[in-house]
Amino acid sequence: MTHHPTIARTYQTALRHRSLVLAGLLGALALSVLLDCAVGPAELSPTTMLRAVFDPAGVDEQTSLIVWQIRLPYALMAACVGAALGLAGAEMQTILANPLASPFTLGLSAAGAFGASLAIVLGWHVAHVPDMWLTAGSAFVCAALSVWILDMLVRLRQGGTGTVILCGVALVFSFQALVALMQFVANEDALQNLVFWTLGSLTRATWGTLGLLAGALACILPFSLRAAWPLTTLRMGEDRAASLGVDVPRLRRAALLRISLLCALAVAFVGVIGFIGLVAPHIARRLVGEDHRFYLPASLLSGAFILSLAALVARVLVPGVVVPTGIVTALVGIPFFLVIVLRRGEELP
Amino acid sequence: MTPPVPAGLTLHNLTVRYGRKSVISELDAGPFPHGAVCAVLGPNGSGKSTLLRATGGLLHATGTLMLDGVDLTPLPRAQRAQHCLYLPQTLPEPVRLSVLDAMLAARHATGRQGNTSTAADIDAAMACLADVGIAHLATQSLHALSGGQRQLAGLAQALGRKPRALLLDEPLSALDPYYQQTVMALIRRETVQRNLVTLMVLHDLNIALNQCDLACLLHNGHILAYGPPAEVLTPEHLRTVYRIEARVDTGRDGQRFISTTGVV
Repeated sequence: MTHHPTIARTYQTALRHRSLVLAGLLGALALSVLLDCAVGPAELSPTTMLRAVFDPAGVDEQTSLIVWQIRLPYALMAACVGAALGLAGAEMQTILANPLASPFTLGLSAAGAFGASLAIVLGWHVAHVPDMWLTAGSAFVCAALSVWILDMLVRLRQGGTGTVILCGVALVFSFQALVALMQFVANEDALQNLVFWTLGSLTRATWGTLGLLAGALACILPFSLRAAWPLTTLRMGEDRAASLGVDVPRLRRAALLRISLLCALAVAFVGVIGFIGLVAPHIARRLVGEDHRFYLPASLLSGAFILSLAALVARVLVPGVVVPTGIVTALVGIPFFLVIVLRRGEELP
Repeated sequence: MTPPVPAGLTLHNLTVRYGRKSVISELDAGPFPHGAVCAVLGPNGSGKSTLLRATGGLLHATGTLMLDGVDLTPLPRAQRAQHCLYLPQTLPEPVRLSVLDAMLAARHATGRQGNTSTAADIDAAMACLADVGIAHLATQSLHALSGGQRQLAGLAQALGRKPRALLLDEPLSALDPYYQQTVMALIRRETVQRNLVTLMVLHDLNIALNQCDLACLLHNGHILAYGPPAEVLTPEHLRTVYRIEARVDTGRDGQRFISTTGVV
């Protein structure tokens, strides 16, 4: 039997290289979050920033307030939402075997927007519950419901990836029509509130919502990583994965559940933010390939990094105004998306 | 000279339905022995793929499936794939995954096997790749390989799982003549060396006639004939099953070939 020590060594080097890429992404993310905190109407030097974070007593009260109540929740929320959408997008593209799939392809965001519009337009109030949580809760329920409907439809037809996408597109249009209907019947105040919500904005971030999203992400990530090997096998074809003993329907359902939790929470707290879930997996694929042990974390970190950057741009684009982040991500996302689509000709994704 | 334990693969009373329509009903087949390549033949829609997929556990089927005297039907899919591995007709997708990554993914697809180290896993994967002759491609990405090379990578994945029975669904159909011969020779060699029960769906009757040890001819979901290829592939059977007029000739080197002269 021939031994191939050089190839084994090359492979180990490649694994180390991928780990380094992950570390690099993490570093870039930390840097952009820091920058996101430092930039704003009140100029803060990075050292003041770090002091305010790690030693709040050592800075004056106003600085501490700005950093802890405004800048940090905003910057961290951007990173967390980006991470959630990046991870969800990566899993979605794998289970649907479609490079154009994203959390938004399946109508999750549209459903979330519909849920929010219900709460805003119908003016729901519950005693002792802030309106914001009510809106978020309603968005979450609708987004989760849309995934459940999708799963039911797919199970009913016992369909493959084609059915999932078609049903998803059907859901997108249905919920968009419902949102339009709500806009039509809304009064002026509610309409403005709703439009702002559907544009996606991080300014509503609080420590409460941030904690919930970060907690969910921390709970879901281990399950995603545990499914890394079967998901990698699934990339080589559904039949092939099944033939190697992977229970594909179960794997797909578990992934859909994780995706729906992540997206529904992200949509519920910050509104509709497009393109992160589509673009982050493509970046991750270019950087580390499709070994899901690396691809999933890379997509998570890429998503967090891009949204963090977009959040930064959203604040410096028009001085004194925070442009809704959803607008910025779409503007940044579209050229990127075109580049990916046009590059498909030379090599397969 | 019958062995005390029924060795090989035997199907009993196998029924497969798509919805209400049964594609295969109460089929008995085998025994398919170890160390022999058996061609599964029949026209389109005769149930070849269905038979193999049901045997591999990809389709729900009723009946029993005995491998070396043990019934595999009650086993969960992951365990079943350890014994009896189906290889789909489609080639591995051309994704950004190195051949070695693909091997390791196939190995760990249903949970980590034993408590082997990564280095040992890599050694085992490299040994399989060397067996199929593509060790030099280990660090290449699947999307950079030719169809034939990907087929070999798919075979290496299957062999790496160390099954006792291998079910190949048209492994030659997407390949050019060079890779057809390469893959066929490889399947024959590994079947003997690893003492596998190998069933393969084939459309090329001449390959079945000359390079397989056994042939199993399916007709409308039933087995019309099973035995040495020369006894199965007769002009009468070909007329019944494929609706073709054909002649079987023997060449000077003893090779037989089927010439089709028309349709019935």
